[in-house]
Amino acid sequence: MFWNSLKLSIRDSLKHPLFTILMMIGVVVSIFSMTTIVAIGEGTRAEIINALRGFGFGGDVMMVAAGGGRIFRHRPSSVKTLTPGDAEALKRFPFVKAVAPRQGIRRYPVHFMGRSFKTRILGVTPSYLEVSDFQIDMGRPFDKRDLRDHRKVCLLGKTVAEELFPGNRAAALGRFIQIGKFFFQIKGVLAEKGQLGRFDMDDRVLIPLTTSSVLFIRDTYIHAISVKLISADHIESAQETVRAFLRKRHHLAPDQSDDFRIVTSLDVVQFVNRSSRELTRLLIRIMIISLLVSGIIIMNVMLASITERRVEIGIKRALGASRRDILTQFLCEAVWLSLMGSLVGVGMGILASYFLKSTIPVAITIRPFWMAIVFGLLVGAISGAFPAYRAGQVDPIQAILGGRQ
Amino acid sequence: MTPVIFLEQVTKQYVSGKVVTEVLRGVTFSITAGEFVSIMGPSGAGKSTLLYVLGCLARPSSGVYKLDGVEVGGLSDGELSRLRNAKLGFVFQSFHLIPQYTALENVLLPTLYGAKRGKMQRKNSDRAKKMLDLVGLDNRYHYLPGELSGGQRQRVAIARALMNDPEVILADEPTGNLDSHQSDEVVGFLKELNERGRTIIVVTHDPDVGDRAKRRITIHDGLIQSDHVLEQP
Repeated sequence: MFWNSLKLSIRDSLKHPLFTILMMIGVVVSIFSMTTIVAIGEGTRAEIINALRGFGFGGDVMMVAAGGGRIFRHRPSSVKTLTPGDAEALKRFPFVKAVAPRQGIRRYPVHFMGRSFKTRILGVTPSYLEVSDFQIDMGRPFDKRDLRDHRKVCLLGKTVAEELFPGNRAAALGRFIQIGKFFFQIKGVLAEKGQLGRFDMDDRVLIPLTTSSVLFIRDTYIHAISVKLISADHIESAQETVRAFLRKRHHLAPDQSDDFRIVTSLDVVQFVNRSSRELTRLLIRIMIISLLVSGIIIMNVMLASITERRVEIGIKRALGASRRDILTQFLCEAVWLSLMGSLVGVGMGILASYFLKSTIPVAITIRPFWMAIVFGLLVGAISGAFPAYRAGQVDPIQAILGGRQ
Repeated sequence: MTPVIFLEQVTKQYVSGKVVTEVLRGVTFSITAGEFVSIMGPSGAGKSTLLYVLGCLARPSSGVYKLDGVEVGGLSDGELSRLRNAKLGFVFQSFHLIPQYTALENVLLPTLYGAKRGKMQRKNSDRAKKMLDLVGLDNRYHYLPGELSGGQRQRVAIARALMNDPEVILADEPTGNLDSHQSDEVVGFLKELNERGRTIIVVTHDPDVGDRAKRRITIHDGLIQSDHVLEQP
C-alpha cells in the first residue's frame, strides 16, 4: 500500500514538473546553506586543532599566564603577578622538563637599511626554543651570557627575516637592526613554523628576557611561563600541583581567586569546541527558520497544486481511490519531494564545499546527510499533512462536475 | 435472479446552509444483469444525481440501494471506494482523462486502486492494451489525451471503464461533447458491449442515444415519470 502510493506520488510529481520544482526549492536552498556552513565550521575547527598540534602547543605543554579570570581574555601587559622567581621555582618539579618565561612587548616597528616592518617582540630565555618547538634555521641560539649581560642580540622569525632581507635571509646574520631606539645584532634566524589560523607564527623577533626587562618593559615581571612536561600523561594533575604551588607562592588566601591562569592545549581545544558548539546552536536556529519557510512554501504550492488537480482527484476517486488513498498519495508526494530537495541541497552543499576548499578550510562529514534526511522527512510530513488532508476531502462529484462547464 | 441494481424509495437531499434541496424524492426501480438502460429527463430533473448515487459517489439520504446484493448505505468511504473500483465503470461527458497520462496509463488507472492495487502489473498492462485494441486504438497506446480527437478520448474512457471488468458501466452524457458521427460510434460501442452481456446505464437528454437502449427510465422533478422497455428497431 505504502510503496504503491509512493510510486504513484513519484510518477505524478514528475508529471507536474513546475509544482515539483517550486515545492523543492525552499528545502534545496536551506539544506544547501546548512551543509556549506557545517562544512566550513567543521573545517575551521579541524584546522585549529591540527594547527595547535603542529605548533608545539601539544599535550605536554602548559602555559601559565599572568592575571586571573577567564582563560582567553586579553590583558594589558602591565599585570604584575608572575616573576622570574616563579619560573625558576617551577623548574624544581620532577615532572617538568623545561620552563620558558617570557615578556611580550606590543608590536614594534623594526628597521634595517630603510626597510621597516612591524612585528611582535618577545623577551625570552634560551629554553624558549625547546619549549615552543622552534628550530634555528641559521646562526646560533641565545646563551647564558646573552641573558646575564642584557645583550642587544635577537633572533628573527622567518617572516621578519624575509621582509627585511628579501631573497637572502643568510645576509641577516651579524647585521644590526633597529628596534625602537635600540640597535640589536642578529644572532640567528628561526626555521619556518607557518600559520596558526590567521596568526603567523613566524612574525616575531626574540630578544633576551633580561634585555626586554631593562629596555622595553622596564620591570622584571613576566607575562607568561611555558612549562614543558616530561610526559603528556598526567598534565591535569600537574596543572593542579602547579596551581596550588603558585597560589602558595603568591600568598593567596583561600577566598582569593587565582592571579594567574594555566592554559593547556586541552583548554584550547575545549574553547574551540565551545565556540563551534555556539556556532552549531546558531546554525540550528537559522535552519529551523529556513525550514519553517520551506514548509510554508511546500504547503502553499501543494494547496495550489491540489486546486489545479481537483479534477484529477475526482477522477481517481470515481475510479476507486478512497479518501485515504488520495491523502496518502499527496503526503507521500510532499515527503518524497522534500527528501529529494534535501538530498539535492546536500549534494550542492558538498559540491560548493569542494570548490571552497582552496580558499577556506572545509571538512566534508557524514553529519549533514543525516540531518538532511531527518529534516527532509520531517518538513515534508508536517507541511504536507494539511494539504494532503484537503486533497482527501475533495468532493468527487463537485470536482467532476466542475470539469464539465 | 438478484438484480444488479436495486433501489427502493431512494431520496437525496443537498443541504446548503438552511436551504434543503430535495433532488431525488423516492425513486424505486431495479436493473438486472445484461440490461441497457437509458435514464432521461430535462435538466435539473435529478438524473445526474441519480447516476452519482448509482455510482456510489453520493450516498442516498434515505431508502435502500443495493449494488450487486450489497447494501451501500452503511459502507465506509474505503469500502465504498473498493466497491466502486470493482463493480463500476464510469464514462463521463468530458471524458475526464488525466491529461498528463498517456492513453495506456489512463486505462490502467483503475488497477492502481481497490483491493488488487498495484499487483500483476504485467498482466494489467496486457489487459489495458487489449481494451484499447477493443475500442480501436491499438496504435495509440502512448498518445496523450491532448493528441487524440474527442471520439478517440471517449473510447479511451470506455476502455478505462472496462479495465476492471465491472458489473455495470455508468455513462453520464457520454456523447454530449461529440459530433453525430463520433456519437454513433460511441453508442455503437456501448451497444456492442451490452450485446456481450455487460449491464449499461446511460444518462442522457439526447433522444437519439436514449432510444437505442433497451429500456428507458424517464425522471422528472426527482420522481420516476415513466419506465418502459423499448421496441428494438
